[in-house]
Amino acid sequence: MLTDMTTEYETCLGWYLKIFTFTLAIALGTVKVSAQKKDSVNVGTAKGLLRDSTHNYVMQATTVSIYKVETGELVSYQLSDNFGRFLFRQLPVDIPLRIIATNIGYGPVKREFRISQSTKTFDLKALNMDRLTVSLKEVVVSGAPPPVQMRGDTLEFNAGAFKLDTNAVVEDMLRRLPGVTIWNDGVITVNGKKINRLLVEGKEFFGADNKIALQNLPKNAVKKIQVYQDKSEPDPIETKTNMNIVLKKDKKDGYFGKVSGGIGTTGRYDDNGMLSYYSPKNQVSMVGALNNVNKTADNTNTLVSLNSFKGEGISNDYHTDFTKPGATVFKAAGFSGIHDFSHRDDNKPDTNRLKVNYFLAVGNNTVDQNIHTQIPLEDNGYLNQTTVNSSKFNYNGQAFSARYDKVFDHGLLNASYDFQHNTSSMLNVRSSTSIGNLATDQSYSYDEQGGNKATIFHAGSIKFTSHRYTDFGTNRNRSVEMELSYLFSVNNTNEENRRITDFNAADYSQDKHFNRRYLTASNNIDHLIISSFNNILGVLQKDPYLRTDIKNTLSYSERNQTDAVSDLLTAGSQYLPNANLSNHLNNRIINYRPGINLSKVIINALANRFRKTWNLSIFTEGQLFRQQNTAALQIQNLERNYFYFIPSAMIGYSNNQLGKFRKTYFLKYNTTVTYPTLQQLAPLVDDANVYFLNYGNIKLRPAYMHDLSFKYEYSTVEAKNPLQGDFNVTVGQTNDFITDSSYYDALGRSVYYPINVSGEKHASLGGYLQKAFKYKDHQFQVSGKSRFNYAQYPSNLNGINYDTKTNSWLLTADLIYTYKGLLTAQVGESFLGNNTSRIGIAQYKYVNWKTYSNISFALPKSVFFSTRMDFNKNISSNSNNIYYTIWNIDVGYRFLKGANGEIKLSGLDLFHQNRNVINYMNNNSITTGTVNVLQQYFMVTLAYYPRKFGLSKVEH
Amino acid sequence: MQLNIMIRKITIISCFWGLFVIPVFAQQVIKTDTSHFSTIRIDPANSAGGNVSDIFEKVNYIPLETTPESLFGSINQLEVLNNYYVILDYNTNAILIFNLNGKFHAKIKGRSNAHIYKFLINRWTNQIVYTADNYQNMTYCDLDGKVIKTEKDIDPKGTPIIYLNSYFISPDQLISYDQYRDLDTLSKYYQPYSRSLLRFGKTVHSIGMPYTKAETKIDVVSSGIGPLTTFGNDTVFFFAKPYDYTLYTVTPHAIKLTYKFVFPQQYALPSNFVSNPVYDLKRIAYIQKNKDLIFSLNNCYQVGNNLLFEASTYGSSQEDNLVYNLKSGNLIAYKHILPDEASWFLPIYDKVSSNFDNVGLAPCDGTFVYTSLSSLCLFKANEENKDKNVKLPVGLAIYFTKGSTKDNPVILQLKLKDSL
Repeated sequence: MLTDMTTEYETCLGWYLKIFTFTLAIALGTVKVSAQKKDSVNVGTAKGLLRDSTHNYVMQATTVSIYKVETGELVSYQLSDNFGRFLFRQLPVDIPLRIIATNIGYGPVKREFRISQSTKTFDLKALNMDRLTVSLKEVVVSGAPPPVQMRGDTLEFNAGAFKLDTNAVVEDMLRRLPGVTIWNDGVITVNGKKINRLLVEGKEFFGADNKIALQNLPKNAVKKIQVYQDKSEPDPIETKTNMNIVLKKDKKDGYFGKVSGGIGTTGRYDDNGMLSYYSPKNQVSMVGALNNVNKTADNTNTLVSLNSFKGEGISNDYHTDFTKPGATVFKAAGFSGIHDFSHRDDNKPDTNRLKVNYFLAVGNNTVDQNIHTQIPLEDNGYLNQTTVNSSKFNYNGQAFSARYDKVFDHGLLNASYDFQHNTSSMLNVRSSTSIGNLATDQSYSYDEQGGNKATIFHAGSIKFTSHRYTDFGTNRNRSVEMELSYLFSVNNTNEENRRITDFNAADYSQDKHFNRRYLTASNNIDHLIISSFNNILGVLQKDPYLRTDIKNTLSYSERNQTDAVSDLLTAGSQYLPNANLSNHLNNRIINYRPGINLSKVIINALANRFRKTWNLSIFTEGQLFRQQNTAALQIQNLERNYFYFIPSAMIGYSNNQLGKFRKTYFLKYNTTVTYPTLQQLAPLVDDANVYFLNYGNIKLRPAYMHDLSFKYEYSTVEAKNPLQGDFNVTVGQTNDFITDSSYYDALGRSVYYPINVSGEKHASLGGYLQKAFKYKDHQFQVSGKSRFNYAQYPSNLNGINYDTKTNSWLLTADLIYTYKGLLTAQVGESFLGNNTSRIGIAQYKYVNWKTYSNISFALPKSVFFSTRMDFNKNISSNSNNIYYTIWNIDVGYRFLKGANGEIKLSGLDLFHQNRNVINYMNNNSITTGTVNVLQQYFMVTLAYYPRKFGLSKVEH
Repeated sequence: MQLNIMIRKITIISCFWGLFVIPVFAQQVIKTDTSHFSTIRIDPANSAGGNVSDIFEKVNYIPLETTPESLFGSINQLEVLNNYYVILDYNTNAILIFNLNGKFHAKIKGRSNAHIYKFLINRWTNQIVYTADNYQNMTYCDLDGKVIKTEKDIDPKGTPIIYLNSYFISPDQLISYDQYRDLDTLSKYYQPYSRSLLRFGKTVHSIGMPYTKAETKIDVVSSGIGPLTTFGNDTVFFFAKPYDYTLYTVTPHAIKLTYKFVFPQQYALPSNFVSNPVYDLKRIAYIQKNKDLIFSLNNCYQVGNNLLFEASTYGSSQEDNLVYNLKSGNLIAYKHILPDEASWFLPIYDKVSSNFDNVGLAPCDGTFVYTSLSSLCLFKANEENKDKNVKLPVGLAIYFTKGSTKDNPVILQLKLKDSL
């Protein structure tokens, strides 16, 4: 008779979770909000009590604001406490003040008063507030809005109450709000709680980069800023907080942008253009950039964010990159558009939208390198190679992408399409000299390579995710927990290259000359299917002891490549086919990974005190990897089949002490297999590459890596002076580690081929710590970061095995001071050290120290100034110490009524010291050298910021 | 915290037994007497506040002993039985028994993965009765936490005997509420008039408020304590009919309409909300959308001349827990009552945690009403009161000196003034 006993309370509980998160009061509601200015004359105190005497109760969490009567300037504000009281300190004395108390549903109360110089206090006693009749609730607009108010569970800051410069942007206003911290990395926290998403009108604003909204939207277009708990993604473990910028009714659409042109000494130029338009349904951007000052970007949104109205200051990433090697000319144009199809309701923003992006980048890069490589040879001492390399690279890339996202009540659909078309050409001229120990051990080579490449790429993907839920109409479970996705891509490449090589040695018999042409056409097709059926036992059983997910990943890729290589014989004028390098290859790879993930969450919580969570999971996964090659050249006709068991496991523990701190610990074990590629197994060896011949190893086995990692995270959840940090350590070893075996001959020619070795071990250690202090308008952020990596493995040089040990250490620390967003100063230090030793032969060391300082200062509507100085010190074991300093200064002036005009003078690399030091090590050698870089230039830039918010006036 | 989120404010009664057949041939239908009732007009927006000393005759905070054995999360259900406080805590899945001065007495530990969501008390046998398997078996314990027996709770017809909203009205008899259900009326087992909102007897001998085929698509959400509530007399109950602003008095042999509330239009559900089939299986969705509408009356008690109830809405409101004085007609909003000397300036409901919104004022023993506050909330308030030089009673003084925010919750016992 009992046909359906499945319904338990859990189903109901799951449901509460969905609908009742809204009642969760954000801790903000109970925080006393106050912001007061200190001054020697501000010594007065005012107190009082707010009551609804008709209904005989006190008014809690009511906004009380104090203004100067004469100027209307907001002096101070706070929310009344649980007893309806308010107490203001540090108020100006002996001038007329106006107090205004406001609460939703009540008429505002105003009083004027003056704090006497002698008593320094004023008691406003009980102020009575009257409830508005229902019909009047919606139309009450009287006087300035309160700076802050609680509307249900939402904390609202009304922009109109904050008097800022007319050209201030949202960021300037946020810095004024009590409890709000804008971190240097763009993260916003409110009372220690990280803002999960910043929305404008309930939607993302030009992508996920907060900066676009913060630095472009004028404060005057904003009606209010709301802080509330995210209801759209209820997270049972941790609730998330969102910030939403509500625009004024007549500013729901608008455009903003920047047009700028800069001209500098030594032929430098830097021109930018950006125009963005938004409306409730659409967001469209167009950008363009043209420069030869090492400013590059990868996509449209980066260029939009880099051209923001308030883009100056040290947070501006769009400075000349002095570390970039060579001379670069960069031209780019882009378009991005988002259309929102949704009929938004408050609980579910961003439910149905299409994003389209197009980006075109054209550029060239010229690099001139002088490098010196030292290779130790066991008995013969060293081999020294000196190379002069000059390369030119031109590229033209176009990328188009379209993404569609739709959120259903219990599911999610994402679809995307990508298209890319890239062409490039390069010319590389290299001359190298190699000198061994004996006079006869000398060789010289000249190598010239040029080529063109064209690639066309298409990719598409579709992903569907669904969640199990309880239908409360019928009280049954519906839908399944699953993720399904399919991705495909097609990549066509056509390449044409030529190479001229002259190799001359002291021993003439070793001389070699090549003039070779290469034509390569390849076509790659990839298919990838991923499925995950989650909590499958949950279908049969309400609350299974273990959560069981069945996961399958299947990929198939096929590559068809034709190489036609021909040589120009010394005597003739005709190219003859090279039978060793001309080939047709069909390469097919199947990679199938089935697995079962067993997991368990154990929660130990005491209401209002703590919540401790254990997460345990074991993922038993197998990997079937099949590589099949059919080639015209017999050597590449090979097939490999592998099956490996690649288990992983994780234990996580988090301890969340309410209102105090949160600690998490993770211990993770992971295995990965690296399969030998065809290029490692049986490459076609191009003998024109005289100094470096890369041979394959047909017996190469896959490398199997075990990793064990531990991570500890700590963060305070207090409103004041947030602190966060982490510490992590990883140790691991690789069986059959793939490394190089190399042979050098006396003429400096080397032959490499990959080998498997045992005994590879690696470890890393890292952590960071970040803390902010906010005192009134002053904010300090201190942060430090460190990472240490170590690896040891055997390698082979000229037939002898050596143990190689490498380590690197990165350490940075900095201090940032911000005052009201007007002044930002930063000092910091970074250290990078590398050490490689091959036991018994050589040890190499390379160290870079950098000390940097920044100051930027901007007066609204007038002058701004910023300077950055980097002191660099390089210490390397085979060259002299190198010291250089880069000093940049920008001075600018904003003019016109809306500060739309800008003139800027920049001096870059004022000391004319910029050097780009090449320094790299591998297990056999150390290479040092220099490369041409951008150096000192002065530039004058003119910019105009077209801005208009509120294109069509809304009829009220 | 998760449980807080989950249980917050509202408990849905949704034991979907899928019983298509409950023949009622032998059962008598108790008629509902609607001949005499009072109509009460309530405008929550016009409720008053006041000070604790104006509203309450007596206020008593009872800290509960905190030891490793007695440590628990929050008071998810509280009953007073034979001079003991019996407390259900979801966090530790345990029923804890404290004596009236807050000293720990005993504990009934639930099994892991078998959650106890509610318990019953039997005043005639002084027993605590609970289920951890969705009312298939009931476990009977004494006040020392000892298990007396475990009994199968399914009658020969497959119906649970005791269920979610059941109360003992004698050593072995019950009154139960059963909610509207989505029934398959096309099933050959379906019997018209087989369902009712109220049932009487351990073997059901009578039913009350039977409902028809037309009422089988009503999805119900219920909030706080109810719809059946008890307040001092063990055989008299208030019954607040779902989606209706009526309060019935239910006794073992009678159902009588007692109060009919009228709310201002902007807070009231459409008058045909239950009967109009356009709302079928969409009623929950409707009240979720219209957050200001009062969808249920719960935690209904009568103490002397005062009628206490919560008017639940999906929105948040300061005027949801109300006290209506039947004599003067005055309406007081509990959340607007201001702490004063009478409560040592300590709050009378928990603003820090969500427990008050989940449970509300409960229970009521005819003299006192109870609620509980987290230590986090009380310590915070005490800290804010530092400037007031409050003279605390000994118990509270010790609690604030020796305890911490991590202590067990504190029971608040309140006695309303009769003339308000």
